[in-house]
Amino acid sequence: MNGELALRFGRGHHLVGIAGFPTSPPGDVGVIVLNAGLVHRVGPFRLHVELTRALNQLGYTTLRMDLSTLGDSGATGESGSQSEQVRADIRDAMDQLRAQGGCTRFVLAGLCSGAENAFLAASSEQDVAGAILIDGYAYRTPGFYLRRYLPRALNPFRVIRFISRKIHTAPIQSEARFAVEFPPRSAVSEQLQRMLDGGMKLLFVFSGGASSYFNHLRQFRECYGPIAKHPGTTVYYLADSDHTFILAGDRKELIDMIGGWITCALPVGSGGSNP
Amino acid sequence: MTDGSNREIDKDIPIRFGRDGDAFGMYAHTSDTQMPAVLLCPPFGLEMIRTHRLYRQLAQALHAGGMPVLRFDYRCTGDAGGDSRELSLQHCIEDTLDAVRELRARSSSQRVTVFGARLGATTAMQAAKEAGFERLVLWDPVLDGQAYVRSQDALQEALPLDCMRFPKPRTPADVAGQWLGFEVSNQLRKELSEMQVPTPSASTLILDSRLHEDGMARDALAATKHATVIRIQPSTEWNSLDRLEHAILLPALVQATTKYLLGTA
Repeated sequence: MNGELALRFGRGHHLVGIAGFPTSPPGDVGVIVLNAGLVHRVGPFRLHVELTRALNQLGYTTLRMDLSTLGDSGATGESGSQSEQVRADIRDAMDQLRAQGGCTRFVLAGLCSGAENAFLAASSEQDVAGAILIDGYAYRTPGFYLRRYLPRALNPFRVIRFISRKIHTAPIQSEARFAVEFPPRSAVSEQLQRMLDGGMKLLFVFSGGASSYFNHLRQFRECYGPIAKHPGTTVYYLADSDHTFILAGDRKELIDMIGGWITCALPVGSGGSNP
Repeated sequence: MTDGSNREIDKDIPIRFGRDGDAFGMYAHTSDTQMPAVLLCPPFGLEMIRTHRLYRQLAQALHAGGMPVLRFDYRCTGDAGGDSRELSLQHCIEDTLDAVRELRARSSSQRVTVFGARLGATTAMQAAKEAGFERLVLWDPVLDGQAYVRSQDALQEALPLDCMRFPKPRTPADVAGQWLGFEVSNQLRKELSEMQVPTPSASTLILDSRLHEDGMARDALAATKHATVIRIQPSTEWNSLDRLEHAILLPALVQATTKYLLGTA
């Protein structure tokens, strides 16, 4: 495949990933795409393949990878916590793109647990210039509850959905399937503020599939206050999409959105800074 | 790293192969030239993603038993080159033949057994004569292409109204031209509707984890001279809208396949 290189890499030679290179002379920003849940590096419905190839067309070097024990990657046998292993795997990925693509600054991207891991590493690792967090951390607000419950009685489809969910004695299936543990809002806010103050660029995308905890674009400001207004913050809400972007048109919209954001926030060849 | 018998177990390596280097594979080598090599043909579309972990587990088990193993992505799928909308059954058959050649070259084994699930099994059957497979292991092979097309169309028709997935219903235009997350060309639809699946002449093990679809065609295949059927429990929910993001994990299938292939190697 022209422009892509299949790799086994890492401190234990345990990681598998596909590096993608632009046909134009590459800039210094590399984009690393992390696993969404347990899905291997191609992403849900091949989302990560489509995204990384689109970014290659825009001039960005990319790496879609499997973290330790996911997809085709193995374990290292190390005894650290999962967080430590995720950070170490991402450091390995950055080292790989430094060596292979000449990248000096990195954007970490992920959906769901991938967003969680991208946030984890972006908040602690050197040389991370940006993060793309899809259905990442957000918190229910009074506005959320008002928007959630008031229209239900007026919309037959929502009534059916509400009743259907109540029939299930187990937790709501979509929520249980995609549930991640969220840290306290104050801790996340503090870290986001530090990241932004350090010059990082952040793209938050929420889908309609996150409707169990996020249901309007303004909710981001309700959650995070001044962070929403920071010049380094960009937020989108794709209200009609599901959590894994099963429809091709929704994936295209998401990918176009990411492409538009990154070319403005972290232009190729600019050292990662806005003009 | 060794397996206790002091035989070296290499980690599997990612490779590119085939026409234009567009196909992608994970190859696990062994130095035991007495053992047949195994080719793992994946299913198509979402089924490929859902079975990825099972395929890896199967490859590891067979490799630990001394067999060189290649699992791969057809063009326009997985990590291979090409757009999903350009997927073609004929190209998948070609890529399977390329994979067999690659496996023979890397392993130095001329004896090749193939494992395939769903349309991966179908592809293996269609490539079998030219590939010269020694044995086939087929998990829920798709034998009736028209029935398959109808079932995928029905699932896609139900998808926009899935209130567990979408906050509000999607339109028919939103979901047109796709099957469960993947764009589908008219060419692929035609190929599947018109496909003829030859009965393999080599020894065939059918792993049956479903009861209802393809029943008559499967029974006919099972009745052929070289075929054996093993019923795998529990039944696999290939076509359930509320399980699309669930991995398919069947330890019993991995065990049965490994036992069969290593026991008769």
